Amino acid sequence: MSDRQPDAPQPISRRESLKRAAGALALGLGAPMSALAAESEDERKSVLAFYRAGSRDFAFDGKGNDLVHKMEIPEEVAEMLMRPEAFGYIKLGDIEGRRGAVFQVIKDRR
Amino acid sequence: MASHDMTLLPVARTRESAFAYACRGCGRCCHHKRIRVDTYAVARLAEALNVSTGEVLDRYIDADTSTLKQTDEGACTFLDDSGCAVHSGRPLACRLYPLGWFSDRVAMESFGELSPHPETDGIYSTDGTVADYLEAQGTAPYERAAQRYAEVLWRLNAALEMDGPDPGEPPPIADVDAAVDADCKDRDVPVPDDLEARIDLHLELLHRWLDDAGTPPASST
Repeated sequence: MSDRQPDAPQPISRRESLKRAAGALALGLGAPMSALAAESEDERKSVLAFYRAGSRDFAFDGKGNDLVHKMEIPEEVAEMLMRPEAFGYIKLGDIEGRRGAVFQVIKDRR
Repeated sequence: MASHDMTLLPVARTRESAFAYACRGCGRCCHHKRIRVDTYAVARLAEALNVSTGEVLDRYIDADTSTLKQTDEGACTFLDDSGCAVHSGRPLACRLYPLGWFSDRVAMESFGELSPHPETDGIYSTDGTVADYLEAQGTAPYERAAQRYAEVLWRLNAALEMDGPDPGEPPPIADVDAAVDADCKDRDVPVPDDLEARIDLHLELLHRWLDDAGTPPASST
């Protein structure tokens, strides 16, 4: 969450302006990225997965290269967090010493 | 103070759920934690420290993660010998602890609970409700602000889905004082002394910028 800009900012597009503003707000509000597509989840448990900030290529099984930590969460909390317009506040423990993690709810195998 | 594995307990609470927690000031929950701060929290910290929001952002916030900085030993940057140096302006995550709050735009919500630190001095009981605990912790203005800034985020997301005019650079998102000071200077009016009034004006500036981007009103996004 920073408003700091380079000394000589280059003109940016409408979309880039909106994206930067949304990113700054989402980071502070603890808003997760968009929910994953629904799939057969009966045999899976809900997991809060933390990825390196800037990750784009999420692995839906939570085993992607950018995954830094994951922890099981209650189903009710998972359902809340999977809403596209969710946000949350929680005092999280260190994430394996990694800074700059973002989170996503995934379904992991039991 | 050593780190420990912390997880969400397999419970999800409502405001009516039985819950009480008495902090004994052991400070264990002030070590090895990621405390995310939003725009309102930055403003409250600035008020507690009697500095500008820009100074808070520069000195105390990790810009990449929007979290409070820590010492090399993993202590919160605001923890001193007498406890929390910004207790009156502590962020929402600290007020909620050991609970977490999750919500969405239709105000559905759930409260998670973190596993206790194995050596915590805090006392857990069921002699109250989650609502009682939140009131005692003064979370209400933080919750209101979160909902209001989330409205801005949802409008931003809607704007990204559509074409429209280029509104130019947005007002500073996190630096409330910079945004409000600039606007008041442009209009040649005094800067509001009251923090909540500055937050109101900051939100108004963000919504005005979204109007300029051709974004539909919040009620229709």
